[in-house]
Amino acid sequence: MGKYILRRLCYVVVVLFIISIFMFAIFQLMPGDPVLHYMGQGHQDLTPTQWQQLYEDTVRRMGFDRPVHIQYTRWLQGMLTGNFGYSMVHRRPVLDVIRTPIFWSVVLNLASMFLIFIVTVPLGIISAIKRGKTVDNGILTFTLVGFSIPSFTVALIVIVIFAVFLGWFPITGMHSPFLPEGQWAQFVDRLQYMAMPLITLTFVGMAAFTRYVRAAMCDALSEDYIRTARSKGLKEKVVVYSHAFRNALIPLITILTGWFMGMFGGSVVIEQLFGWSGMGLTMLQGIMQMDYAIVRAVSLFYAFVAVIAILLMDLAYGLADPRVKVSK
Amino acid sequence: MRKLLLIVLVLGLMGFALAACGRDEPAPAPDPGPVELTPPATPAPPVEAPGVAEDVLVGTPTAGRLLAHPDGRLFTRAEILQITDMTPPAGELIMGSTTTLTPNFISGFESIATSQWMRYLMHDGRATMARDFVGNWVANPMVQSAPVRTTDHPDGSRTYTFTIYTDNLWSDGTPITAADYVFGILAYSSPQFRAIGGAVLTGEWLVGYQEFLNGPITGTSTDADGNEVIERGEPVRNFQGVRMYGPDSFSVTVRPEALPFVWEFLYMLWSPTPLHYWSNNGTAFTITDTPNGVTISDGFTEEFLQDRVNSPGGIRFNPTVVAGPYLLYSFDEGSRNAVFVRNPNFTATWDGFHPQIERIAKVALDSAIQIDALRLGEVDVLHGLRAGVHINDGLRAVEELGLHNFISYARSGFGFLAFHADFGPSQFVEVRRAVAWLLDRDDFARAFTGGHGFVLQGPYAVDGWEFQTVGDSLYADPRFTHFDFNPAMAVQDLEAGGWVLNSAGGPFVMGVDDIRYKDVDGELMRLSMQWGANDNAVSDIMRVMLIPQAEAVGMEIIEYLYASPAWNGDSWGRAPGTPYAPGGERFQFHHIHTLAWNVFPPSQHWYSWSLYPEHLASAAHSNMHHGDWQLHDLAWASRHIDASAPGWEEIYLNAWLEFQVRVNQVMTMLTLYADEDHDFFPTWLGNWDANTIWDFGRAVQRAYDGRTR
Amino acid sequence: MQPKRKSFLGTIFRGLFFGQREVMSMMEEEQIQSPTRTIARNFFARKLTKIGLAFFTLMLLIVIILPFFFPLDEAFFDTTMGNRRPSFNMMRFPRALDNGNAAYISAGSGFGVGVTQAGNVHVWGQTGLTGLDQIPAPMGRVIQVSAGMDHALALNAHGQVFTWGNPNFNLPNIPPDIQGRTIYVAAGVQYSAALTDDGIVHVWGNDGVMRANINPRLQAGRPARHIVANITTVMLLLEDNTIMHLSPRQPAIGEFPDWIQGQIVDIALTDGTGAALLMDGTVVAWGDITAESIHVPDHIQGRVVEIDGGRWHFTAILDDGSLYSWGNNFFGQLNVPTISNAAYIFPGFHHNYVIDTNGNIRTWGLNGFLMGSDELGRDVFVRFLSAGRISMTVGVIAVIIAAFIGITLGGISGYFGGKIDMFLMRFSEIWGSIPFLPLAILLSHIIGRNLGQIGRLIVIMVVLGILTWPALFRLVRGQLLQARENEYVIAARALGVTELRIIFKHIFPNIISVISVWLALNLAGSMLTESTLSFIGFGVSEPTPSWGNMLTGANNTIVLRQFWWRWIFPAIALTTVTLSINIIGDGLREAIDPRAQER
Repeated sequence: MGKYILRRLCYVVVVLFIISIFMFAIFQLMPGDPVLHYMGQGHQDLTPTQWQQLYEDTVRRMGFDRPVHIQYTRWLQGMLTGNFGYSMVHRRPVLDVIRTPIFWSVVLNLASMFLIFIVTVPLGIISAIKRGKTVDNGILTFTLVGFSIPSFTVALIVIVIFAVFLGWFPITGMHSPFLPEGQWAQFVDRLQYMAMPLITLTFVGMAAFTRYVRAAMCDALSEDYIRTARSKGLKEKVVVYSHAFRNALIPLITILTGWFMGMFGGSVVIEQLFGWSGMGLTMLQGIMQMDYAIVRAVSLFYAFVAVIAILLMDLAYGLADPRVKVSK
Repeated sequence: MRKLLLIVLVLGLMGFALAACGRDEPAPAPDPGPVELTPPATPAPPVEAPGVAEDVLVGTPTAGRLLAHPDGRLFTRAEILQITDMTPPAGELIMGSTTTLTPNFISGFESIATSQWMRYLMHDGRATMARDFVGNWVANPMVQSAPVRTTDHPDGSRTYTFTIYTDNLWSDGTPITAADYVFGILAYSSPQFRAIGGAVLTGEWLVGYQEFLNGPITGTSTDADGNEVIERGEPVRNFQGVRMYGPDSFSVTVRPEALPFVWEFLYMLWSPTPLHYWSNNGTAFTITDTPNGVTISDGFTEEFLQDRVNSPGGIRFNPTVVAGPYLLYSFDEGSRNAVFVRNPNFTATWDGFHPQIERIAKVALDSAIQIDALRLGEVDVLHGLRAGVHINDGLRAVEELGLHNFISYARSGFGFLAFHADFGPSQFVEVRRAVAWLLDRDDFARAFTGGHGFVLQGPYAVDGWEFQTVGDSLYADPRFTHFDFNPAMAVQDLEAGGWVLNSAGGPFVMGVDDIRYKDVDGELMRLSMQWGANDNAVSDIMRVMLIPQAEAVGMEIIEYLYASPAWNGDSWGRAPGTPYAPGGERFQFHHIHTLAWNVFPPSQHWYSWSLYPEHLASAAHSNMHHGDWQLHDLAWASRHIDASAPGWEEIYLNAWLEFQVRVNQVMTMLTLYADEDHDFFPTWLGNWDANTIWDFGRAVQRAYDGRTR
Repeated sequence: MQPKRKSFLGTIFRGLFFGQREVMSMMEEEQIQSPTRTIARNFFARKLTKIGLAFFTLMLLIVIILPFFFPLDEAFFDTTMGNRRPSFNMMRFPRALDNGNAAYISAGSGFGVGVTQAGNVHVWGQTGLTGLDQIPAPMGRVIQVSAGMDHALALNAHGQVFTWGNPNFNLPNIPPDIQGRTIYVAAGVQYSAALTDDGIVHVWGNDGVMRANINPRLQAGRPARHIVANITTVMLLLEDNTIMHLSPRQPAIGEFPDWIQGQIVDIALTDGTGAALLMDGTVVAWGDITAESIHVPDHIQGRVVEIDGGRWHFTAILDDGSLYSWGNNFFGQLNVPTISNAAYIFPGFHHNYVIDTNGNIRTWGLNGFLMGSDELGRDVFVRFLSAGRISMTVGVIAVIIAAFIGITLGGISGYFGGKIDMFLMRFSEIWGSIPFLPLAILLSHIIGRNLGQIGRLIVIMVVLGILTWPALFRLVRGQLLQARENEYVIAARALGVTELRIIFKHIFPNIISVISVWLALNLAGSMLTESTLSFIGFGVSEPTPSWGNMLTGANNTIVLRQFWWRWIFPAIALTTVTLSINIIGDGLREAIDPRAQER
């Protein structure tokens, strides 16, 4: 097993290397001149000769005058040593710019994953037990609806229902304009503002996870040891919850590692509508304003997380079910 | 018959049958005679905010809603400071805006208009000049203890000497002295500040600016392709044109070529920067006056500024010492919202107002839900709302809830179609005029603004001083063409311009051939233009209106869609073949662009219409590529007017009129529309008045929270 | 034989779907039948799948066939007909006006105003938007009414003017000096005009529009006996049978030939052209040369008794009492009823009313929209049909591209294994781990910047296809890896069957089932992704409609609550189509999966 892990790890390095070349190349293809955006907008009345001088200074400062491969190596060294580069649009190191959006994206994603887990596990179990009956079809069609509606329509409907009609939650933002004093008051305040994005993310994410739980439970229920447990005369509740569910948990955990990959991402749609500044919006603004320092750094970070997640999922397969032949 | 059948089928499927209702006709009654008319229902007068207005406003607000002494003159400083029995500032105001705040809390790093108000709120109030509600500039009575003295020098340069009060305080209680004004000029013109990405244009027209920023000239040479290049030595530490005479007086000297200047008062506009705060009470660096200009010590370096200003906790992101009425209380990095609190050491504005609102919060909103936030009371003020669908919903909220008032004012700016007159079919004036005839701008303005906006005939601010005084004579001028939707005139202009051939060189026949050609020095030029469009509502409507009409008269317009304005903004600022177009080959040059400008008085239109090659090249000016030297001269003519000579307004307005007529004749800019911006604010907010010039930052200083009265 | 253990990928995949036929009891026996017949029997056994399949085919038929009957003209728009509710009541006048009771009718944009002989005013059609249904009272005996785009005017027997409808643009502020001496009122778009007994025209309304288009001072005291208002300006018929217009600019509508001055009996305006009826019954038209209404048909010359204009068409009464309309026929404004006793005609916008000699009213023109109109006045139903066709084609082609790449690469790497497999696996990992959004935006920007509408559609399909193939690749590869170990493959290889035949003849049929399930689900996924791309501005761009960008048009709560018809139909369609595709995918998966039938 050790040799296999080692080989996969060096694959990961190779893959990351290729991705970084690819990311670097994409942004060279983009038309338009990023130097102008790196120079900022504060030069309205600069005389052209000075403006020209500033243009050349910026080109030199950003190292654009050096050949592409040197720029690439300098950038890669930065990434490896934790210096993610300098965002010229925000005029701050990329790390400073993305630290808070990533934090809030992780908070939102973790909370919604937790909520989804709580809601879908019972649903999955019920539909597995009553497999084929109307309850099962009902649950799966209801969850499927979340899977089939575009997320911004769900978000808008949630806003109209919970904020406009019922007035339970504030309509947008991450905290009340005048933040209340005290840790607990601020926590409750932020919770209020997180409610609607959470409801939307849960409703949209529910469909997929219910099915995983249901499939895992169906597999577990159709195993031989369940038939023996029943023939031993154990109560149905014990059979289902202790035997079947515990075995169904193993594949569920492996799926969770897959979802680990999505934790850092953000959904542009949800963030734009609910005024929640997360990674999705930061990435989109980065692309729109040609702030390629941010987009490159974050894309490589996502790629790293993705490749690690795939590796974890492969390993988890092996652990969860030794009989499964992982690829040769 | 077939269609009817199908509608019935689908109807059955969809099941929509909404019946109309009608009332039955009562028996014919005899003629009841004339009706006693009630006066027309004018819109409800704004609900008076609770609380007594007098205790806040002293004296009578003038036409420009400014506070002035009953006999019409501005208050003197003594009179303002003597109004001490003010009720203390109280209450809070939540301002909603669809633009997210970038945390540039000092000027020089960003010129986005929508966050300019916030910097005004914190830093302005103690500048030597001030702008009133309609855009005129006056000396700031709270700062200047004596009128500005101007002395002319034999070489044509001119010195302005200021004497200021020394008991105005910074927010930390330190007095504001001449050193702070002088340091403001040096800091914002220094190579070190430029190196950390700031704008260095404050002292641009002063003597010694080039030497201080770029170094003295040491010689000239010509580079590879024959352009004359100036060599410069190391930037010097002394700014020759700036002098300091003690804590209460300083002077600036303007270079000869900067005069005459029609808006000469702009040379008298200087605002203070806290020297003690930037230099940690003089430990890092000091400034001293010397016979050839104020000198800044060597401690003022790029590394120091990078740490003191640009670091995450630095002055740029969290300025704690300000001269303006409000201090930054908190900025949430996540939601990008900010809270400002009243600066206790700020006495009153230049026109005598003691800002009354204690706390102001800025909240970012998505335009989809901004009116709902207003209805739910999560946001108090929406300033400068545009686009018909939002305005109408806001007006409905005002009507239904009765909790808000609204004001509307013409936007001081416009959207326009810009033509590249340097290459392709758009270099010919008849093609540009044809496009002007083909676009139904009334329908376009109605579709985009829903009636809350109107068509402009030229690049000016509708409520601007120039158009208000000579607008009618501009309209009546025979040389001025009113471009209305008129395809026949478009065809007439095109044919007059020689676009009468088809692809084979034969005569173009409407209906048979699809694209017109013209014989341009021997070759056939195809009447086909590229339009660099962005993905917004303006382009959506333009795509449906202009392109089909152009095809109808034999003109092809191909759309190049750019997702973000940043991607095609640069290709507008450049022209092919100009010397200063580095990276030029990476651009797509389009003949037509859709752009928008804000026009803040005083209008400095000579920069944007200049044809000097270096102006054309620098994207900083986003110039009009019109290629017409007469228009260039007319634009600069209105700059070089001596504003001190009597009757200068007459000369300036005539020059402005000639300039506008020439713009209309050259037609490289087709102004589309100006919005009618709306402000929605709660009835408890007293004395609120604003327009594009008098933005939120200025209006909030004169308002008060009626709930706390 | 080693127990055929379900590969874990399969569990993941099965986990995605649901539905399970009633488990057969131990004792029941199945007849022997070919695998495909079993799959078909299982597939159709479940009620839900049948509903899903039926609904999907229905929507497919609607979206493919109906656009031929309701063709979409992408260049069409009408700013005066924006946001009208779904209904067919625009010309459904109340019974009170019928059989001889009607004295005057005026057609507004999507609504109508009528007054009876007794002077009572009635309103019908789309009146809810700007309060047109709140008719002011008392108004005395009204003799004339006029309907604009979203406001209306009434004139009573004593020259007093009343107005109601759009409360903005100071339309309610009727100038006091015209009360009591007005003889005719005309409502334009966001402005009103009134002709007083001294022949002078008074105009009030949206000062932005008026400042640009209408300058009453141009009349300079010359008395007028009739006025006509259209979308841009006011045209006057003066006492001396000459005409003039009040626009300070040179609109096309102002270029009438000079020789007609002095012989004009009646005038009419559409929004781009003007027409004058001369004493000898001939009609002369002028204005926008691209408008159809400028060509007056010859056969009516010399026989016209009265003319009036709508938004893009003219209507005339001929000397034999019959009617004739010419101009734009987009809404059927020209399909005149054949009558020979026409007395008065009242055309307006896209509607026409005629009152014949014995007082009966007939109408022709636009009566309403099945699914209402959007903010640019375009029929939502017609766009909905074309949008469906585009959304589905985008989804299908994207899936086909993804399937083609996924299957070929999956097949190669699954079957040959070794070096190729390792390389392809890593490549798919790289491609799969690049974040979807930036890649989609960059690809669509680099490729699709200057193509026409169709080009941009193809780019979206290619982008969606390119970005979604890795999932299918891993699936096909996994299945192939398993299939390769089975006996029938080894036996076929032993019989000397060529590699290609093995792949396509033997392995493929087993895999086709899993692939078709993936295709169904990815089709649903691609349609949804297209709508999300539209939301951030990279999907199908205006004016080409797709269900995605029709939904994005509704991205604010105002449209959501007030103009619900603009988004609810694409939302229902997109949801139900994706839902039914998913249901079909599930049914297929359940039918194919051998475990499903295990007892």
